[in-house]
Amino acid sequence: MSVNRGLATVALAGGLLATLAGSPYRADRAVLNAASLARAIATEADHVTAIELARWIRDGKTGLRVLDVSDTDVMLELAVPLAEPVSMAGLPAFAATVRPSDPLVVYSAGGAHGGQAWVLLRALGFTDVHFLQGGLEAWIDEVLAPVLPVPEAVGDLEQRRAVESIIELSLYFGGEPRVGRTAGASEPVIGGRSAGAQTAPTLADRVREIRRRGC
Amino acid sequence: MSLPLFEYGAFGDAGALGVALFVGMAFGWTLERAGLGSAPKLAGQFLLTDLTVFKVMFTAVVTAMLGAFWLGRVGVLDLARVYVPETYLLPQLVGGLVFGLGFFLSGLCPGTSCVSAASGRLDGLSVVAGMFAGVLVAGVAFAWIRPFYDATPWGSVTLAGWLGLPYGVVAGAVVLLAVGGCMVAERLEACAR
Repeated sequence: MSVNRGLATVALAGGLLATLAGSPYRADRAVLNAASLARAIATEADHVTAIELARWIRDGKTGLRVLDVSDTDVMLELAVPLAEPVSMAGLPAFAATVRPSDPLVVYSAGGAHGGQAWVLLRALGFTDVHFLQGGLEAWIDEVLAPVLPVPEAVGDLEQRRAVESIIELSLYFGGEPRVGRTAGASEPVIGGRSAGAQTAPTLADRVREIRRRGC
Repeated sequence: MSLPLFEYGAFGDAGALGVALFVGMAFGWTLERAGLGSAPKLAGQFLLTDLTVFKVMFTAVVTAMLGAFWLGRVGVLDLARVYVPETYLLPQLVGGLVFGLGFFLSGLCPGTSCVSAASGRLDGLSVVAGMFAGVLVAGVAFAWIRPFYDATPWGSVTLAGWLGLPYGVVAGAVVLLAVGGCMVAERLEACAR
């Protein structure tokens, strides 16, 4: 058999086998490494808290991208700054536009879709991906409207600094920390809206709306 | 190892330029070794006396296609990260006609004209000069031709997506077409001798 015939035979075999081989696209058959996922969950390397995420954004963490996979426009006003809306169905296509080593944080309104998106992205080969623990609700409760003691009333110096740091962080993001109040009491209105506006939905209203929608 | 290496951060922009330089040199060397720096040889394509261009190019297409398919299938290559140029049907049809006419008149295409010029042929050098002049004119007149340049956008279209067939089926069909085409080309060349 001549070299040409040999190469043609190899090509024919490769082509014919290709018709039976299924899709060559990775997104169609993402691979889960169960041990790696379990390790990340056990060590809590799978998620990031709202405060940690707020610090990453404020400090300009290199390459950070925040993805909102809520599939709803309810949180446009309260969305995490810099968040890019990506539908769950469109996540594999979106993933192809991002380098697998880029740090990603995914979140949804309640957190369920955020967790699912984390699994999906890990299966697609992303190594530095986290979901926002507690989802957008946690962002609101811990960053935009955290309930905190009056710093001066905190005896321990380290704890007092932590409280002051969260107040500073909340104000940085336009939040309204509820210092010295209890949760649910006298909810602040959303930043940017006039306190006197009768129809302005309160933060609590928006949170209730988000919770009704779930995921 | 995951491919494409650049997308997976194996090297940066400078490394990518180095790889591009190496791949370009290998491409030029291969074209020259295949005899594609010679205008008379390429002109044989249009006279159906020497179909080397057809065979070399179709072989390259099949090799790259099967390589991409199987590397993707075994999980080494992430095909979604391989850039697929967008289709602009009408301007590309017209561009293809202009390209074919230039190929026929000069006996060289852009790649082979560079190979020809690099191997010291004056005809290759004049084609390269004409090509750069054409690029310059197109650049200067770009604002004027822009509406046509942007006409009939189809997005990133693949044969498999356009036909609605599985990638593997299209790959198999292209291989059959290539092998059949090369066999016909050999017959035509034998008849011409």
